Amino acid sequence: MTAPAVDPDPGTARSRTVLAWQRTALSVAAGTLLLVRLGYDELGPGVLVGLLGLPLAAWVLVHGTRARATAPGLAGALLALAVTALCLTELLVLVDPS
Amino acid sequence: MYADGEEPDYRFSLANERTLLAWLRTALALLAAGVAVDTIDLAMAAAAQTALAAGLVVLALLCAGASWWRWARAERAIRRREPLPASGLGLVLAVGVVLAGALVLVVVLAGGVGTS
Repeated sequence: MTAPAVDPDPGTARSRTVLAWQRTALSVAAGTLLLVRLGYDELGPGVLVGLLGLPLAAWVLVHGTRARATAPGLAGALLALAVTALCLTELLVLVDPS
Repeated sequence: MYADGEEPDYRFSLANERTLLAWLRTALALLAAGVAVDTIDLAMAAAAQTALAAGLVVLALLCAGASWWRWARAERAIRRREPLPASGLGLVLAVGVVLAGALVLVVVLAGGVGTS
C-alpha cells in the first residue's frame, strides 16, 4: 500500500472529507427533526429531549470539519451515538403498544 | 491505536474517515426507510408492517455500530501495512434492502397505498 512520490491530486482529499462531514452532520440534523416530529405524536413531549441532536449536529458541522491528526475523534463518536439513539427511539415508537 | 504501526499516507486515513461517515449516512437512510414503512398505510397486516419497519431499523443500528468497528480495524490495518479486513456487513445490507424492497413492491402492487 504505497502512495506515488508526487501527489497527483493535491488538496482534494481534505476538501472531500470536509464535505463528507457536512453531509453527515446535515443528515443527522434532518433525521433528528423527522424523528422528534413523528415521535411526538406517539410518545408525547418527552421526546423533545431528542432535539439535543440539533446542537450536536451544529457542533459537528463546525468542529468535525477541521483537519486534524486523530480523526474522526469525539465528533465521529458523537455522530455514531446520535444515530444509534435515533434508531433506538424509533424502535421505541414501533413497539409502543398504545 | 495510534501507538501501533507507522503514520500512513494521510489520504488513506481521510478515505477511511469518509467511509465511516458514509456508513453513518447509510444507517440514517435505513432508519428513514423504517420510519416510512411504519408511517405509510400499506395493505399488509399491522404486525407484519411493524416487523418490516423494525427490521430496517435494526439494520440501521447494525450499520451505526459496525461503522465505528470497521473504521478501527481498517485504520489498524493501514498503519501496519496489512491487507484491509473483509466485512460481511455489505452483503447483509444488500440482502436486507433487496428483501425489504421486494416485499414492499409486492404489497404495493397487490393492495395499493394510502397514508395514515
